[in-house]
Amino acid sequence: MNDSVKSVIALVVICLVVTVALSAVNYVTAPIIAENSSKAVMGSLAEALPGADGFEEIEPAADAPETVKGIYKENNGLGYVVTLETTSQYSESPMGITVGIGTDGIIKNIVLTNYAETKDFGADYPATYVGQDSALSGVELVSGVTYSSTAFRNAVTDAYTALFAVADVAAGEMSDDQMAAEAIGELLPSSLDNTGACKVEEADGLYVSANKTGYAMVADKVAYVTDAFGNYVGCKSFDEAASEDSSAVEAVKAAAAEAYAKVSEKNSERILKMYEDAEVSVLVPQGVQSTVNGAYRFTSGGSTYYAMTASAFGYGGAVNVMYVVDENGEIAKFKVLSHNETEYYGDVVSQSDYTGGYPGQVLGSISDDVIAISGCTFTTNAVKTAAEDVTAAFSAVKEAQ
Amino acid sequence: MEKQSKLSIMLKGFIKENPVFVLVLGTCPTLAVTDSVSRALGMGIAAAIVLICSNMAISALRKVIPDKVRIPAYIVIIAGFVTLIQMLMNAYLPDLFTALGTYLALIVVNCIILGRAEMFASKHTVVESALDGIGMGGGFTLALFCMGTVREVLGSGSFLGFRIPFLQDHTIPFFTQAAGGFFVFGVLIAVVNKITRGKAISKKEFGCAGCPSRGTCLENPENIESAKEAK
Repeated sequence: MNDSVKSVIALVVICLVVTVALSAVNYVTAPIIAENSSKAVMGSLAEALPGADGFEEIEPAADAPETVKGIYKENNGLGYVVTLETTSQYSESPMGITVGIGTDGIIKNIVLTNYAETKDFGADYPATYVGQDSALSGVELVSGVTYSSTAFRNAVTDAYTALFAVADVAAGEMSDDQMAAEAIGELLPSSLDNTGACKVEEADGLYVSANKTGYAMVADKVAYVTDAFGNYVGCKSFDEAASEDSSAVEAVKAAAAEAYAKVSEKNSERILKMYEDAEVSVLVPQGVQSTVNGAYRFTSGGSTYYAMTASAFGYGGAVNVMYVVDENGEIAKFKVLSHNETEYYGDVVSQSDYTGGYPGQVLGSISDDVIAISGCTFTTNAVKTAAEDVTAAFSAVKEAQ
Repeated sequence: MEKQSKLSIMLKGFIKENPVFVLVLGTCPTLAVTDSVSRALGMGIAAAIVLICSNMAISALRKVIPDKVRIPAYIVIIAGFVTLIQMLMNAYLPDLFTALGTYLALIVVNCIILGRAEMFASKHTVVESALDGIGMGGGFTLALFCMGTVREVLGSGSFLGFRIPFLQDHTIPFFTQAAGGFFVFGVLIAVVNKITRGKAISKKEFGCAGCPSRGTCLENPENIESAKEAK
């Protein structure tokens, strides 16, 4: 027989024998392997929903958030388990979260199945979500690990979003400050920080955003929002039955105006420190809904000046700056009032080497060399936003006269 | 080739012709999976089983497989056994399967297995080939076990996952890294050379006779002559 034909036959026969042997073994092992892997998945599901008996996978809705990887229904109607995968900008591999939610809408347990962020938000952090409802009103972000903890919270919110679409789960009630934060964030985008969230502080029922660019009051599940100067912006209703109430609008306008007056008192003192003979009048510009949160006019040495404060978010929080410009928009003084930037960049931006570059520049055409801080995109962006907003606010104030 | 006793065929793999420390074959898995004893043992045993089975199969088929296609035939047989081991391990030892990861599949290209098939199994009887497989597989497992022990005890302060008092507080992570693997590898080869006084295997035994490329290599005296004749 020809040598080549012999070789081909031998190889084919060997391959066939090996294939038959492999399929035989596969026939035996395939079901065991499938059972093993489903056991592993079920094990983590059972951990997320204590007391669970078994699970059945449900198909998430077509428009379910991308972070949702799977939804499982407990066989005895105990609740649901949602598996999630999310990333923040600080990680290479996704964060794996398995959350168990009862039919009452309460989180029964939450398990971190994979965590590869450079900064750790602590082993106890996920546990703070246990017992929460869909509003997540009792959880806080971890300071210093904001991106990771925000990603975690958003993922849990996504779990609820996906679950509401396909299952009958009770929705939680939002707290007043959550409603206020959401309303301010939605109506006044300048109040959103780098994580896309608006944080609020409360005093006597009046909520103020972290950079003091918006105020809100909540009455009967409706949040009424004003800008930094006390001008009413609008309201957001969190209950279908509720509608705008004019007395609440008046209340928030009055409270916000009072808060602005308080802020202005302090800013006036600052101006007086720079211009001893200044006579400061507080301006209430209309339609200035930006990072600008203070506008003043004063005369000193026979000339008229305008002072504007703005507060944009840098790396660590709001960077508060004050511009003093003359009637033509030429900058006379630039001051960094406060910041929460990392030591180095904060120092750079608040030192006279930096602030000294501003005087003589004209609003609207400030040189990039003056604004930019090399190596710090976040702080530069904050200062840049402030400059643009102040320019816009200045022309609005001039036009109004 | 001189006749060897059955016992010596089996025993030579452990020290005298240890595949890792003397023949320096299969270095990749040796360095990659020996950062813990359990992985090293799992890898060693898996490779040993494949080696024994493939040695026997190839020996049994040595008169049937045409010389021209012997390497592809060996690869198919070896790959078949490796896949079998993979399926069985995934079904019955899932933890070890996950721990060994891709290195398990890489047994297919482990040079010890193909090397023994070519150097030994294709020329000896089934029984002798099985004994050679046991010896070489045992030697490979022993070598991996030694490497794994040194690296896990010093690098992680534990043995087979059990923590060792004192050492667990004074670990030397260097040993769990790749560089530490090379270091331990070198030291153990030196130790084996010391024990056998450098006579474990003479270089001549390696010569052209044991080389898989001997048929085509121009350094081989036989080929040089035939090349001259062809001219």
